[in-house]
Amino acid sequence: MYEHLPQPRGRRFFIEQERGVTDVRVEIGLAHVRVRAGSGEKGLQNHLKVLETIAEQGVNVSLVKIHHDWITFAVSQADVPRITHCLDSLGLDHKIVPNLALVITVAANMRESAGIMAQIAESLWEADAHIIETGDSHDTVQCLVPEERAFAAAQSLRRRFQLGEVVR
Amino acid sequence: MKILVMKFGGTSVDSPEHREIAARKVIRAKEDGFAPVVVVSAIGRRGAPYATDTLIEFLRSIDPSVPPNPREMDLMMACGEIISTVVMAHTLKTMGYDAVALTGGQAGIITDNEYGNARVLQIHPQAIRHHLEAGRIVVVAGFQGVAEDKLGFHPDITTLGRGGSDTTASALGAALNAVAVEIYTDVDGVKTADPDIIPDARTLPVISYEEVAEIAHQGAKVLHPRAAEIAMLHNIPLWVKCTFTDEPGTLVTSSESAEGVDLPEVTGVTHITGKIVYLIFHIGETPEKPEIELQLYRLMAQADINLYLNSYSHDTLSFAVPRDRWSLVQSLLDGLVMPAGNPPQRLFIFRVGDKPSREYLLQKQMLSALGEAIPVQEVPVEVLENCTMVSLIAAKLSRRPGIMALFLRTLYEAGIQVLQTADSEMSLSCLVNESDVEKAVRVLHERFVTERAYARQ
Repeated sequence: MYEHLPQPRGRRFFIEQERGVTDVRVEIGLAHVRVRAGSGEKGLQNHLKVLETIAEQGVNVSLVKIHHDWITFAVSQADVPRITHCLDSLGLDHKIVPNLALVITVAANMRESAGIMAQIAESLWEADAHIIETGDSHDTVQCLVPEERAFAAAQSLRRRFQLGEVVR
Repeated sequence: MKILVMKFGGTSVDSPEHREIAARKVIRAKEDGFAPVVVVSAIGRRGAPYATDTLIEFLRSIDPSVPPNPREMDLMMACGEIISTVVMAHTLKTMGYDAVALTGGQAGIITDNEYGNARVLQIHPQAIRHHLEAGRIVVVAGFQGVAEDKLGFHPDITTLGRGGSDTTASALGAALNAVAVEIYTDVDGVKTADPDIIPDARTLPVISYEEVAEIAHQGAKVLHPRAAEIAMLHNIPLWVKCTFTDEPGTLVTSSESAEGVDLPEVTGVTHITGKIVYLIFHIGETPEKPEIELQLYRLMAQADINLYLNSYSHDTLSFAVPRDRWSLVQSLLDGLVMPAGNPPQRLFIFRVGDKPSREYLLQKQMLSALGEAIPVQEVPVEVLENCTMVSLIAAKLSRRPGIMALFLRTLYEAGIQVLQTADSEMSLSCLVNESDVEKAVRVLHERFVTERAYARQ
């Protein structure tokens, strides 16, 4: 019916972005903090005490996770001395793992992509990058790994998802 | 030619009266000097004779044990929008305006061949332009296109998946370089919360593409995230408006375009409606833990299970699965025996829930025959059923020190048990029992939207 009309020329112009993994990024200079908060009402109060005391110091936290007796989160490596001081002053048992990096896998609609976590975990396993914590949103999966393995992990992910080499 | 894309959802075209209201909006745009391209969804919702769900059920009812072929299912589903398109074009004609109805394929929408969830690859808009230049109002069937033709046959009809008509509208807006895309619905814009829970939730006058995509991904139903992502990619202004009022609605635009406009610090509070099941695997602090985690992820991938809220600790792994896949996940996990090491150094047996199942007990009995030959370690799997996620969308705040503390304090003070949290650049989320969802939305909205308590932090 419309064959007589002029057809588009030149480079193909895609309307929607590609599906699947589109990028892998690395953020270095992080530490992971694990605080024994206890359980029940005392545990809840300790969660708040820890987070509010840290906030008063102007320290930002991410990857906050609640476990049975623990609360865990990531902070900038530069904030570790202040965090240590805060947690010591609260008298709560804690453990800080320094020298970590976040390997961030970016994909459209991550939560509807079954199997993406398996592929990420396999890639990190192959790179000998032990996962310490993860976070996920609709367009990213973030894996906290030892900084010394982070770039190998990113390379491994880029190979698996057929992206270009990581720029260090 | 100032092209304006106007999309009307199912409830906007479900009766002659509603279609007339929608048509009058189109006519007003035409009279104001725009060249309207109208996109329509199928008429009505489940139960209405030509609604998408009704057509799906009709096909499945032939024999529920035989799933329809995806290609034929797409053909069937596309009928709803085609009927709606013809009805709307004819309605406009009866009101004295020349209009033409086009299927997605006739409108030049080319997709990949993933039936049921096709991606729009390109649009050849010559036919639409041809009709617009002739002064016609063009009505296009939403939610559909045609697959790229690689064999020289007539191309197959494809459908675009959930929210497909919003996607059609944004994609046409991009291809036609429209001045704007207007999404008409039954609410007067993007709200700060679900008005069924917060009746006085505010309508946001302006919101960024990123924020609207985030609230859509986190459960708000006002606009499909794909539509926002296409509009963002091509920088097309998007409006969310109500068919039944003349309220200005919500403008969705880029953060840069909105410079000088007061974008809110907190966009709102959303919740997902589907239930999820949260699983905590008590693997223990063993050297084999990473290998077990990897095998669990592989198992879930093989079963095509989506995972959310992944979390690690020194002795556990946790993630959430959709409630409607839980019975499959349970059958895969309960009594599962997983070897670790090469050759195997230890066996891990999974016990789901508090009470040992028959499957678990049978496996355990069989393993006992191995005696001391290889150690067996139990992995109790804690199951939190009927959970759902509530999110605070706050792009400007989510990384501000103290925001997570205030978020948790608000929930704890309301007596809400927080099962897990997640945070990103755009939002803070919590996993709560489904029975606490409305309360959680209310208290978070009160604290962060009404009181704007974070301003005092």
